[in-house]
Amino acid sequence: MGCMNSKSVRKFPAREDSLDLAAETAFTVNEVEALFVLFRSISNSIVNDGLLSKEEFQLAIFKNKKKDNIFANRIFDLFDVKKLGVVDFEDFVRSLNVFHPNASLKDKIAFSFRLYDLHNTGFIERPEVKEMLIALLFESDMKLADDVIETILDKTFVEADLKQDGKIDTEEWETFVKRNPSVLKIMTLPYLRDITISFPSFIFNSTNVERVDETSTRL
Amino acid sequence: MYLTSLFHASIGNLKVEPENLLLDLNGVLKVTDFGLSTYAQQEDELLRTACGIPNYVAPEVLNDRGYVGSTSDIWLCGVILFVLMAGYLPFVEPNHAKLYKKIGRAQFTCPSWFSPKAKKLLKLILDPNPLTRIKVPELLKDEWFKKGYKQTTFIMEEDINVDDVAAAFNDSKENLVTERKEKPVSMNAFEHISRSQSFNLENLFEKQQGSVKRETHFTSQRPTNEIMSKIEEVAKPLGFNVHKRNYKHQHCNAHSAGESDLNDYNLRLVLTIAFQFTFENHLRDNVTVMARQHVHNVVRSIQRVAMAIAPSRLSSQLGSKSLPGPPEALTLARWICKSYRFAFFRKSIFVMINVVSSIILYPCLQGYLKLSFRYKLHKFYNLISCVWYDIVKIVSFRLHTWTELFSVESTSGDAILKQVWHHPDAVLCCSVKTDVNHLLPLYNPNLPQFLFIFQNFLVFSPINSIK
Repeated sequence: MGCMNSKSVRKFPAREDSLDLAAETAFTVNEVEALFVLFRSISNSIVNDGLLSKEEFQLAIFKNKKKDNIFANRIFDLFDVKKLGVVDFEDFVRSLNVFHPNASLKDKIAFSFRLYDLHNTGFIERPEVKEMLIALLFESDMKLADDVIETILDKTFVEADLKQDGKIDTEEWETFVKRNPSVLKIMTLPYLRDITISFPSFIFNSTNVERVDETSTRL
Repeated sequence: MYLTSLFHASIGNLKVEPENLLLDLNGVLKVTDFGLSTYAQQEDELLRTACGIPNYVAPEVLNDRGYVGSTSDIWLCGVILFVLMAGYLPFVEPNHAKLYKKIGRAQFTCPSWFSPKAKKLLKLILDPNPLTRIKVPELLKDEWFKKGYKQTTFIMEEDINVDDVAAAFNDSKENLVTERKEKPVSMNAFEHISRSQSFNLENLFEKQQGSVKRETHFTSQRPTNEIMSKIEEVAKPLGFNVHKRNYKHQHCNAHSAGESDLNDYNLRLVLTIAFQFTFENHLRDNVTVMARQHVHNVVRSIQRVAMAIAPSRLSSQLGSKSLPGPPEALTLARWICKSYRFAFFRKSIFVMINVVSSIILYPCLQGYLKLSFRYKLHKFYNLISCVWYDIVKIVSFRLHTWTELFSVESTSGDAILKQVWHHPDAVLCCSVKTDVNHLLPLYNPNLPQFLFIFQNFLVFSPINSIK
């Protein structure tokens, strides 16, 4: 962490930032500011720097910062757009936007493809899928025989790998996902649709009453 | 229109042959298979077929360690016994990995109305270690098990809502059942992987919710009636009343011991089972053979479980060298082999099997007929005509032998009533051609009570008030 450039972030984002983020995402201004309440609580849980680290991310998901996990790492890496090892609020909102119910299917497909492209090869390859499958089984203390795992992989690649070249490209992935919608189930968080309702304290306890009024006026 | 099934559980009477379950909530038939039965050449030959619905599968089957068919069948019986008594599955988890973990550790909770001895027996049956799990001979000696045939005065509310059961099968994509030693996989790798807990970003918000204490709000992945059962279990000792709204359920009374006239009649399981096998055109013949083989496997499953849960009849068979299983199971199996038929529809073979254990209709109908003749003749005939005229097929069986009494098609009027009238132990199920939901408003205590209606499947139950 020593080599990381410390970056001071204002306690609240500027109104312009909220407006900009709301304009380019499915979130409203109020929702962006509600997300900031969430972001601040999880990003300051270990280091109070206003930035979300991998440890803080895992702590938020598992409630246990010592638990390492290939999947949480993978999601964090995709949120970490600038590859700084930490996620700032703007990237957090833009990445989370993919999970909004109103986000486009195209964005969800693209994000999920990169999610499963574990080694960033530009393809989803069998060793990557096997690695993730074994990690899942390990996570749930379940042991499957090797040939069962190979059978699952065989069936999966028969379905998904239309060119039968041993790897899945973006076109094959799109075709596969549209035929198996449940694969994209994790890409939508219905919760995000009504996010301000779950943070009433932000609305009622906010010291920026004036800004809220301005926002209402603008709307 | 194909017959579909709805599963109904009752309490107190264990003379129930657990059957395959089929759920059709959206008009789509899905295959559900009863366990993993295949024919083992030798008694203790290890079976390795890892297919079937996980919720019913023993841990050693899931772990593919090889298993003794009869030992995993005991586990299967335990799951079904639990379902019959509780009305919901003991192991339900949308997350596939968590489900496997639960089964592997036998993590289940008995509802409050289970007696201590029932809980003890279930612990022995649902033992994740196949070596220490109770065996059939020990099971037959179990104290609670032997008392299972006594009447009970317990009144419970039967949940007819199929959503919770449908949820348990929602992820089942098993469309084809194969023979032993093959390993069909019903889910692709990405569906497994996406069940990882860390892919569920909602955990980010659940933590935040805890710090906003303006409302009590919880989410649960349990089926509805399990939640209701738990809420009641916790709330009633605290003096709260639990009110159910928009919660569909019906009320069934087990007969008290004092009602000697009805002692011989008990609510039993009724199912119509359909199996769907999909195929490409050029494989039609092969799939047909496979489907027929599957039916035979179903029959063997029924026999095996019937033996395990019908000890009083099994003992009477010890001297006989005929096929194993109590007479009722044998007759049922024979009847199934004769009764199943194939239908082809949209690149699928549907194997339709009607399985009727018992529903008491005659005493109720008889009593009601007397009432109707004297007081409510007109109203009764209006109701009956409405139902009978839409009947597609009626099959009636004797209670204890399942000998087919008669099979009537496209009948109308009171002809069917006369036939039922003259058979003191007849039971009756009807499938009707049109939607019968419009009959629900007619429900009142003086009419024959619909046990449940699911699409075109209509079953009656007895009413105590007539007596």
